[in-house]
Amino acid sequence: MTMNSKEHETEPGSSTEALEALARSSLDESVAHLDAATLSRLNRARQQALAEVNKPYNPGNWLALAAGAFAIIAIAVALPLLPPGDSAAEQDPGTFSVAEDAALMEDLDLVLWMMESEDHAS
Amino acid sequence: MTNTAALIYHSWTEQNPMQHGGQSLDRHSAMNGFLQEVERRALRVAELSVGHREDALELVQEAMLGLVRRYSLRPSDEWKPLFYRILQSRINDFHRRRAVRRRVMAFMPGTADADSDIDPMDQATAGERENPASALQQEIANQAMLDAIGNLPTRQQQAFVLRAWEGMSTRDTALAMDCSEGSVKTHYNRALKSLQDALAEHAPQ
Repeated sequence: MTMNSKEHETEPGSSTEALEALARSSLDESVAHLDAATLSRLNRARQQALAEVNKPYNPGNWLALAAGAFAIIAIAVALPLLPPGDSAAEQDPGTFSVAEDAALMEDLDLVLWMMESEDHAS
Repeated sequence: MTNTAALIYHSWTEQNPMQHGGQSLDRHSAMNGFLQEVERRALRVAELSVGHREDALELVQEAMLGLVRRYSLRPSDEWKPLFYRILQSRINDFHRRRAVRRRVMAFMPGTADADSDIDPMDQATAGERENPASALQQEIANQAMLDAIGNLPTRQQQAFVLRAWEGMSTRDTALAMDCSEGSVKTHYNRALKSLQDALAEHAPQ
């Protein structure tokens, strides 16, 4: 995981290499003399983070919340799009209620009787 | 190891603490060593970018917590790019929040951004300047370099410090910066050019 010299963009001995060396030394120098308060803060931050090492990272709660929110939104969106229950059958011209079916059968009987009567008369 | 696999492994080791207590201690110890190794540099990286030590300390702490909570089960050689990826993400969030705050403050009459009159580099290095320098010339050169790095655009600064200072490969830097390796090289070369131009004024005649 360290920098490979072959993939480094600069040529050895070049002015950019000198620039990089100066940058490294300046940055190293800048962290070499941190004050005690800052070092203490860093130590506390590290200890707080390390206290979490053995605690399992549990994204399950977030996933459950997200799934619940998605379900609520899906229901809210889908409900207005669903066809209403019994009124749909009433409004569909190709669908008949039981009472209408019975009336139609009676009419059919009447039509068949009339057709038979005409045949006999002829 | 994927997150799912890591979770399964973790729950299994939780149920078998006797067998895996040693591994847990090793992981704790390894993570402690890693954080100790990077914490000062990470603080400087954050400080160069945000300009305030207190803010930088908070960002580093958040990055530490993020790494431990989410990636402590990953192989340790992946920790550094992951840690810097979290830190850079926090730094970017910080800059976004600050930009929003400045825009809001600009619309409010009679208010001024408290940060606007503060030179970030003055703040970033105020503590160190009080320390005696072994050589005044060296201190001036160091300070000029830090100023120049601090004044780089954010992405150039990230590419430069991760590659030149942290010694990360182009691939790891790309992972940390959440961009392509080609972008890293571009940012890095532009950073080098910017630094050369900025430091030319300080070069001995």
